[in-house]
Amino acid sequence: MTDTEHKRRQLCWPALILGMTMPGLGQMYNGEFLKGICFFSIYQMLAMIGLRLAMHLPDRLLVAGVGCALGLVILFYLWTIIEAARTDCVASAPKGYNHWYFYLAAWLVGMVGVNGAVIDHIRTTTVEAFKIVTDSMSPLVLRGDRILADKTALDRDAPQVGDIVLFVGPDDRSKVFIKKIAALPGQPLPDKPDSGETVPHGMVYVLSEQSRGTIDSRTFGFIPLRDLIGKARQIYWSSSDEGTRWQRLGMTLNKEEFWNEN
Amino acid sequence: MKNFEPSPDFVNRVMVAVRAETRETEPALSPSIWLTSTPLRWMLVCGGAAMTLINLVRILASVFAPALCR
Repeated sequence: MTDTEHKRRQLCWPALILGMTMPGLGQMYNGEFLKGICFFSIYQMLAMIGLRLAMHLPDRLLVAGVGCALGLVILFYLWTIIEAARTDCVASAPKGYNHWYFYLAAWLVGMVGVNGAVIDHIRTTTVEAFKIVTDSMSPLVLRGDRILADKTALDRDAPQVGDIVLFVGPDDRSKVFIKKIAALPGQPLPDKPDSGETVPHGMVYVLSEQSRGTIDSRTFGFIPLRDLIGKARQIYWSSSDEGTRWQRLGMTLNKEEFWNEN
Repeated sequence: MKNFEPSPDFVNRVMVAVRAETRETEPALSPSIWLTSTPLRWMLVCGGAAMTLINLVRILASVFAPALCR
């Protein structure tokens, strides 16, 4: 037997194809059920833990950190495919579950059920991207900017005046708004300092950068702290009708840093 | 060998044993059987590669596909 023939015989085609559809499924075909489950779990955990760790990076490194975490997940996925395909599946004969309906059920549970839930969990609790569709926060955030919102930031640190935050609309909870925090509970309203009115407990006062033609706490009132969903941290893409605004890519959304740079 | 000693239902017992033996030696419906055809194998590999791409795009989109924000 030549080396080429030997290598061809070593490649386990069913494991290669099944491994492509779901991390760990190729190992299951090779009779390594537990290893397959472990690989699938590691794939999901890498995504969840990697992205959560990336949220601890400084603002400037956030997009790079998120990219690295996702890159690691992708590399692991590709490695599981190669590992399954290179296992001698003739020597390690498939077990009794080797039926098409088992693999279909495993894929449905794994990639539709578990992976769907993990993706939903990441978007709900860790990080989510938003595209800005108004100019209310111009020039800090422009229409057409795509930003990464850190949903763990407000759990780690209490909100501060000047933070650029995202929150669900008080009148329409399907809409998300981006504004800056202008006053915290107990503080006087910055636009009406002589009124004596202060922000109630459990609420924040949010303002747009632009005062004309925008809606913020001056129109819809105070925002409950529980409605804050995250902190805007970095722009990962920006485009307008004229094309891509390359100079804005990677810009951080820290108000103090922005004014120092401009 | 008692099963194969002369008896009135000898043929029946032998056939039952033969059918059982045949069932045991039949390979299970395994994906490897379908993959003996080269074009079909490559079609399945292409399908698997497409699934890989979909899965990778899905994990990237979980972070970078934006929702609208006002």
